[in-house]
Amino acid sequence: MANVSFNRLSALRALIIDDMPGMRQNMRLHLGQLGMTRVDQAASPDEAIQMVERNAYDLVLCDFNLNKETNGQHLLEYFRSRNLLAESTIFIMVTAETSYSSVAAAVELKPDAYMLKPLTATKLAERIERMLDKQNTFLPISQRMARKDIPGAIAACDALLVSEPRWVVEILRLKGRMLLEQGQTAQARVVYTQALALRDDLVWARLGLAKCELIDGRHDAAKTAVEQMLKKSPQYIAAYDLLAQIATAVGNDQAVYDALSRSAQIIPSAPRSRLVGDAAYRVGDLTQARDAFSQAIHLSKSSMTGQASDLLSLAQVHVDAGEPELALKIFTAVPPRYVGSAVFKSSQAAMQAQAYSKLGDVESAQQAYATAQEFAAEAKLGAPDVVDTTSRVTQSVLLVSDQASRARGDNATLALAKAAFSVGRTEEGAALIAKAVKSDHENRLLVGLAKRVLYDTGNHALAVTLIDGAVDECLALVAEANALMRGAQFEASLAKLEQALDGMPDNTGVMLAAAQIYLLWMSQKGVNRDYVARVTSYLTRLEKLMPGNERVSKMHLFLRRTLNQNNNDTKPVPGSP
Amino acid sequence: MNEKLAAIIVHDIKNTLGMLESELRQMTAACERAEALPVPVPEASLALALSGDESQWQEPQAPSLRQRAVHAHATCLNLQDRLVGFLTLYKASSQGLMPDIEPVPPEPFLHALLEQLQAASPGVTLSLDVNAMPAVAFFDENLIALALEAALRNALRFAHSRITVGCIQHPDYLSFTVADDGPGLGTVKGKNTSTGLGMELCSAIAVAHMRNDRTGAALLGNRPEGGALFELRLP
Repeated sequence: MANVSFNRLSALRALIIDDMPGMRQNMRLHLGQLGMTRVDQAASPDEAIQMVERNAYDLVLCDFNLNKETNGQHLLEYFRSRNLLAESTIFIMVTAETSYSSVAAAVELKPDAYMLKPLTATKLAERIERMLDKQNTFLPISQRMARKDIPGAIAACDALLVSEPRWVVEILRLKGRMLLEQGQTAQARVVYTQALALRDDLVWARLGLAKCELIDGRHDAAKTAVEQMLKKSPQYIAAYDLLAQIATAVGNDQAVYDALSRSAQIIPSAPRSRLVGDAAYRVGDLTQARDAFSQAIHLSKSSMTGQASDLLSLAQVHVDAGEPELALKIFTAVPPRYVGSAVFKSSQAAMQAQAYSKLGDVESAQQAYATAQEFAAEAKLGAPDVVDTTSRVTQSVLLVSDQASRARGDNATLALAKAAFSVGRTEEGAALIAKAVKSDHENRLLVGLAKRVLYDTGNHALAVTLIDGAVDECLALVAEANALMRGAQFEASLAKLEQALDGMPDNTGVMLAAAQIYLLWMSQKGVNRDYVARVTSYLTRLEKLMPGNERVSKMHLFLRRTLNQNNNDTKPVPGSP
Repeated sequence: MNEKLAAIIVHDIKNTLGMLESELRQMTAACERAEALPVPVPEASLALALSGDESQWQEPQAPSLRQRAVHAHATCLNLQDRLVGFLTLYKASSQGLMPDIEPVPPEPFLHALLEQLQAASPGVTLSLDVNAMPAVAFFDENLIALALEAALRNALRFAHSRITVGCIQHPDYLSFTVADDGPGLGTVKGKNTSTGLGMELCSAIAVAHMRNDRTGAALLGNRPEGGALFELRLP
């Protein structure tokens, strides 16, 4: 029996990540015993990242204790946040002691399995086999999910719930998540209640019920449910994220900050500190923002998980706090890998312009601003696809971080605007602010930050005309297009939206409206190849800008149905020319 | 010696032991390959013949080199498990254990555990009682594996020929059982040779499995039909 299973394992391509050479050798021997011949080794997180970027692995064995800055959990979150691992890659955390269980019990993003040392070939084989069996069982669901056929995937869950009692808990969890993403809270509640009937202390099911309340707009009920859950499981990180999400929904920035900083205390990590820093900056708490960004830099120091945005954020905090010397000092030791990016160089020069200007060195400030403009042009700031989506923390439905990452991407434009104001180029600054807001007028965080720039630079008066003006302009365009569509003037409506998108290519609200009108047009008048290409490109961009959005996935499905319908209709009739 | 220092020392020994384990594993594999070769005189017999020790040379039941390597390897694995057990106990007393309770299908989990120990104990048959076993149960599989390994090793010391492992879901607790066909408790003279570490570890792990203010328990008793019965109850 053992030989049969080893054959399945021997085809796997594996990566071992451990800082101790003896341990790597040991794990390699175990995998060799299972017949695996394609086994790579990484001695550090950076080496592991390079290998994962280059190769596709079926199995990753990662030691939890890697080095002072990065542990296995950080690395796993880094891989998942950048989609570096395939859905089917089995990630096994290996730990020397039982202490990892306290980490595993608290985090939302878990490895597929974690195992205690000493490992043996038999133990490894059993665990990997079980993971492979699970993948096979879940295939009907995962294939439909990959095709974005969420209703189909949910139906597949129902079938498997009957035939696979062994995996019933995981199937319920996945089904609940998909229903939530579709906004079907009534069905999601049924699923979570079913799960709780199996086991009343499943934290994710309790959290799922709280998410239903949030989606249904019952913010107080959602908050109460989460607080109750936290009394029993105060370590469960995802609960704090949900609290932050609820606080975001009601516009309470202070509560967002409180929730995020509580979670960062439980499991400190660079991405968490980054979120805390952003939240502290938004509520104007510069001391906490400085600490959080310093912490993010410290935690990811000398590692590829470090981010250029941390240096820029910290520099901005120093400038705002009246410490221009400290801001300038940051840029005396920039890691070489950031220097190649024009976006970074533009933002760096923008910070320097602000700092010099605070120091009264007008000439250096002007010079730095000119440099910032130069690199901004090179980086095509404000153009699509320069948005820094990589800094998004991997929380499946964490709205806060989605908006924060977009706001951070537009930070380069805002930093440039701030620099423009600081050297007295008010008109240029105003134009940049308007551009940033138009890129995503529905992003409350971005709009808030843009307002902040105007207040900080003494341009209160501009706030109403610029920001509200930009938002109104977007809303008016969409409203106009909708009116035209209702009057059955599809072409005119589309022209209006296309025109709007020329001016604000990354505006998700306008893009959604445009995609919807194209789809409606085709559902009534038939498939137009040019329109299909346009809708596809909008949906791809939207997917990037707002991952997991329910409207976007529904449009995907609608597009596929329309195309299928069309294929059926236009099948060549036998005998026709 | 204080406990913290002991933990540091154990940790250090454990790493070296890991290296030793892998060397013994390679040695076992090398012996297996050597035995598979069509050599007329087995390696072990050859070594004994060359040593000139006739008393052993005449002994037909003498363990082969492979068997000795397998035994050494098993001893090393046992030692590693004990050290992990000690570290886990140390952690339970210093910081408390925090189990990561997840849904686990008990059958493949227990099957792998038995397969692992069966290889090292050819004299006793380890079997799984799948009767009334739930398709899925909730526990920390790493911690429960440690506890059951300790219980199984203990049972192996006393079992005559058979050990049966089961898992049953009762209305308010999950029960893992290890039943052996040995003499039972309180009958063996030398039973105090046990340090009690295994049972203490099982208790600590059971207690850590807490649910709505109820904790688990590790129990040891005699079976009516003879032999000892170990039970791990989890709420």
